[in-house]
Amino acid sequence: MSGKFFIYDILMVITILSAVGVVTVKNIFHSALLLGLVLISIAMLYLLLGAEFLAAVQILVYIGGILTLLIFAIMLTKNLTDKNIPQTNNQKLPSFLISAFIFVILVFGILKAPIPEHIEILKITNTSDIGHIFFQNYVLAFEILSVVLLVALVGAIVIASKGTDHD
Amino acid sequence: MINLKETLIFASLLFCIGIYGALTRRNTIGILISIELIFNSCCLNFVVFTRYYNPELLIGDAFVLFVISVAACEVAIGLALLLSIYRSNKNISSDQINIMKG
Repeated sequence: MSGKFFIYDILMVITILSAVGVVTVKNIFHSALLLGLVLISIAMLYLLLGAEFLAAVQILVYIGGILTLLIFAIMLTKNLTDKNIPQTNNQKLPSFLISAFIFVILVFGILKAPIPEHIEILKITNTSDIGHIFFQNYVLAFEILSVVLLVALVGAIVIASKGTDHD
Repeated sequence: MINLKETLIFASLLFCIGIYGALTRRNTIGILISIELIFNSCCLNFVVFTRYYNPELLIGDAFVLFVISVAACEVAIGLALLLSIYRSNKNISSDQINIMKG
């Protein structure tokens, strides 16, 4: 077993353990911090898969943007992290059965699928390839995405601001 | 040298953990956090399948960037809605949000 392969397995175990923590811990703030651990581990997996630009974007956008936004929202809605407020509803067993059922189906499909057991990572750097794909094959989708981002951010500001009362 | 099937099973386990969290959390921010887990497992599937299927043209990587941008939009809008609901309701538990109920 090579060292890279070993690190890959360790990262998977860390990700699964912290993901279980994300959905089960009582304190929602701890849950957000564990989500940060999951995101960092997945960025490391991207690095090992030869997608270094995606790893950088994952850390910049997810941890720098989305996680910060989540933590701010948790701090702004303050009386929710109280000890005596239940953090889960009473549907634990049906939810567990549903997700376990989906997992069994997915694993069955993956094990039956005609795909090879191991793959080689051929390219190490690919940032310029992603640029070519964006500006040659998918330039329309890229432009629409920029409009979607603009509209979403303006909409978020409008919804979250106090709002003038008309009466 | 990456174990393809092991990675796919890992991604589906992450997906199912995310589904469990989204179904059981009472706090709406917890539901958003669980949905981020689901997004990440799908992104990992895209990257791994691109490495297997067509390593010369990295369409999966480009698609992951689209997914990350749309996830950022979704979280921004969702948290703005939650703050607005919190301001009027003082509560964002998913079973207490029934102001649209007739």
